[in-house]
Amino acid sequence: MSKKMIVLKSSEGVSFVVEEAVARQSKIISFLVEEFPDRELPLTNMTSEILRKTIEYCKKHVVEDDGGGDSSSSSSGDLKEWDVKFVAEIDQPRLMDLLMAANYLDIPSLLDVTCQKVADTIAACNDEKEIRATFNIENDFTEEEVEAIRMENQYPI
Amino acid sequence: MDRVSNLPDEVLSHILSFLTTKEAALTSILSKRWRNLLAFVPCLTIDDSVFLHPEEGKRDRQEIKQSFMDFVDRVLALQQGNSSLKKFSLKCVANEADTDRLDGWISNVLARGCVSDLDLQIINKGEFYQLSPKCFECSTLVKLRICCGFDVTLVAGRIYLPMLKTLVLVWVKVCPNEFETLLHALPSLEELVLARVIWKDRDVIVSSASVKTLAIYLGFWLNTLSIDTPSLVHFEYSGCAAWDYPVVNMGNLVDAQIDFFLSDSQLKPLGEPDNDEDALRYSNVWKLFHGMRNVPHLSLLPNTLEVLSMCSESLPVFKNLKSLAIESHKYRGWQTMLALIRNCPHLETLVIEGLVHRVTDKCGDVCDCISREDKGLSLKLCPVKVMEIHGFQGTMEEMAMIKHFLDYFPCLKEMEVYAEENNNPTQLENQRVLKMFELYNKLSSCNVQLFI
Repeated sequence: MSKKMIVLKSSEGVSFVVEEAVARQSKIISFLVEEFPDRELPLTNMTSEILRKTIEYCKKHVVEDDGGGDSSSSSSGDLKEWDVKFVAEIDQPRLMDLLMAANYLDIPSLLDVTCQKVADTIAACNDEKEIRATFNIENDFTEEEVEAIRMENQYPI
Repeated sequence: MDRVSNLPDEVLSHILSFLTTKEAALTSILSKRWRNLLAFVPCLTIDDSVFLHPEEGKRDRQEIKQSFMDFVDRVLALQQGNSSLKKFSLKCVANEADTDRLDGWISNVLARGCVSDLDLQIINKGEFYQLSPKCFECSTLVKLRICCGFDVTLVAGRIYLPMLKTLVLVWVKVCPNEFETLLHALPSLEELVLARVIWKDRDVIVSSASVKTLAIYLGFWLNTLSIDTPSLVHFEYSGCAAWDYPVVNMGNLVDAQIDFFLSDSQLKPLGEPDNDEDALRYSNVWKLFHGMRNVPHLSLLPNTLEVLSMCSESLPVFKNLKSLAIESHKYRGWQTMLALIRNCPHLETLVIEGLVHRVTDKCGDVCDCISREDKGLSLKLCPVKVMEIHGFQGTMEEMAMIKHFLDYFPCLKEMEVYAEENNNPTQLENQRVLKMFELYNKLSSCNVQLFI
């Protein structure tokens, strides 16, 4: 039985041929496939590198529902482990790209793992200075404002 | 602006929901963009131990506790109007004076009309904390977990939880009558966990037409326990038993695990036939098993085997039982195994966690502890095809039991033996043990495998 394929095009114009079941994990693509069958789907805000990463994730997470298949369905424990490794290997700028791709394409599980990684990075910082440095966040508060917020959030630490 | 700060509000608050509320609140100082994001976080996790460092005795310091409570007030005020709040988890130590404020938080959160998951763990010093009946009036709640030191008083007409699927009660005081009324008022309930519930009365009825998963841990003896759950699929029972089980209705059960509590002082009298009092305590346990007689997968822990030996004669025939898992203990006997194996006419898989058990003269032909001329026939009639033995230590006694199983189970096709974790490998790599496995494999029609 041949599987239905669809074509996704990155911002650089590179075409990716993907099984429909894999791509349908994106709610947006799922919608577009139904609206515009047999058309190439241009994803102009995604680079080839990020699109490749996103497809890699979707391929791992696709649920085979053709009955006999154990081809790519993994146990949930293995899958979690794979997810952790998947985001651990990505540097911060690419993680942000991937997070935005997950948000844009509406892939909830990919959004969760990327957001979790950002949250873990925040939690690992010792203070707000370290968080700002890690993510290049510019402090646009005046000193008085910082002091006021600090008073407000006065925690016994 | 930097990449993270450029993310849309809902994505940023999604990120914050993976942090504790304290960590999330700390980000408000990063920049103006982050100032009020906490207002949209869909999941609040408030834990006073994160704030108060109880190990340093800070929880007792009034001003610090006050600042924790003020913080929660502020977060809830900031969140006012957040219609995306899904989960509220509150864990804290409280005393009499705080109860109004705590009630206020719970009411505030439930009044949003969007919370699906409420998790309360409030430890009250001294008296049990009277839980606000508001927790039982919420049309959006799907999961409710109430843990530690609550007195759950229910008002019949005020229970309204039409969506509730999961109810977890841990170490709370409950009146059985009110509890029965509560269950009947939960049309969507699928999962029920009752762990160390302090029943105000010793006659308990668990009755629900919809519940599929039930876990009961009894902290003390009951007079009677009735379980009327026709849709039940998974059943887990542990702790003390009841004197009687008037109703046990679980005809659709798929798997069950039973782990009775038995202290060493109780164990001794159990073995002595003259001790009527203790024997009587367990004498109706068979009724519980009778209610589970259609189950295909059953798992029994060491004490349960010992308790069942008090009522072996009354054990039902488990005509659907396909797999039986038992766990052994060196001070608990196997007397029940004989009756169990005899009463499972369609058993396919037998899983034994640990072969070492207390030697008694009542195991019949099930084990090889005491050699006899006439071994009986119960194993010969058992259709079991697959055996799994876990926690194998490589002793000659175990080897003798394995040999015994291979000799007496006529339909055995596969036997998998798994070495005990953390076992000294030298004993298992003992050439003699490996040679014996090789020999067993050759001599029997069963495929014997040792996994180290």
